[in-house]
Amino acid sequence: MFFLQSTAPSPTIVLILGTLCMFILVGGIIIFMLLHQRKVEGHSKQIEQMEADHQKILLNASIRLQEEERQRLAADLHDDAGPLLATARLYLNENLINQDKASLLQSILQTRQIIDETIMLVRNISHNLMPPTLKNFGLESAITDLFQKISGSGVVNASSRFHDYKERMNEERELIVFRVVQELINNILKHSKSSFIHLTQNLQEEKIFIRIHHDGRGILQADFDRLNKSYDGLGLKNISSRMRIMQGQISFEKDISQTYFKVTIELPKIDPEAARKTKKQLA
Amino acid sequence: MSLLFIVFQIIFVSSVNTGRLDSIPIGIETILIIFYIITLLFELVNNVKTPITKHYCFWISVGILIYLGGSLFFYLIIDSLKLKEIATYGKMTYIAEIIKNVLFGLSLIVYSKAGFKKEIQQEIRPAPFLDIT
Repeated sequence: MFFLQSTAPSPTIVLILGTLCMFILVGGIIIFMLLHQRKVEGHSKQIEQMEADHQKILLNASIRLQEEERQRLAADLHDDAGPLLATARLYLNENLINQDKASLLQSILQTRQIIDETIMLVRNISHNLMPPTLKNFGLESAITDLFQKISGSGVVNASSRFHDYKERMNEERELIVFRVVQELINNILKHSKSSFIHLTQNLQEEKIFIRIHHDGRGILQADFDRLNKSYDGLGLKNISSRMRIMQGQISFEKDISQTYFKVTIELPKIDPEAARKTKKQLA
Repeated sequence: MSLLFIVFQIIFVSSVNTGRLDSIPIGIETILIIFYIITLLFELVNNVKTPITKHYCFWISVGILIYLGGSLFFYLIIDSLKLKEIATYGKMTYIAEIIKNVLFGLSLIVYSKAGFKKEIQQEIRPAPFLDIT
């Protein structure tokens, strides 16, 4: 009976309690939003910091590689070209005038031979720095040339095939792609113990795909990501930086048959930066 | 959802004999607006570039939330109140309205500051290259 005798609550109490609850709800929503944004901001700063650290590592790797390249060049010139030229100079001394004709002729011929060797050496150093085939005939010829040289050694069977490369990319992009392919091939030759390497090029929807297959011991994407973040793997970091410049992507995986390791390079056919600049100029 | 609410309102007004104010549409409308504001605030929060308090929409949303919070229950029970009670309890909603208007004013200040900053950024042009040879 007691419960049946319920009286309606006073409107004041309903209003005050209801309004208080609504204010608490509103306050809760606002505080939640502010805290949530702080969390999102913190998370975003963490990601930015990680990105900056990664950039630092890539930059250091790039500088180290450059220094190694310079040291190699200096060593080649100092150890090979230097002694050859010094020897040639020895033959061409003041006493040459006092020698008889036969000895004089022999000295000149030997000096010429030494100079020829030096020219060959300097040419090789120069070709390693910037292959003339790449500049004059393009990426397809340079890679074909490179693969022919590798095959010529008899250790590995290397072949390449360009399916759709009628229009050349600009020189800068071709050089970057060539360096990436060169680095990948060097790594395969050094570490994978493969017996064949095959490169194919395709064009699909304004994107160039370069795929390298080999039957040796390769790395997968997880290994590449791990080595990229560590202080080792200088060459891979360089590849990563170069891909970033071209706004391309590289992936390491096994092919469908799970027999061969496959490296896929994907890059836009036209340089996005150049296209943007041209669009701006036309506008 | 807004379309659904408009359809509901048309049906309600045409079918129900309304008194002074309709508690049910007000209640549903308030819930809808609170839902929209929460969605907007989530969008603002996920935009990490600007702090949420520097966005004028935040202050407008908070103002609307406070107003709705302060007046919802009054409008919900308004049908069962007498005219004298409406006049008395209606004054309680004035507090929420004052806070709402202050926050609207704050949003105008925030908006004008943001607009002023953009103008300054646009006016700063790099010095011309004076190659006088």
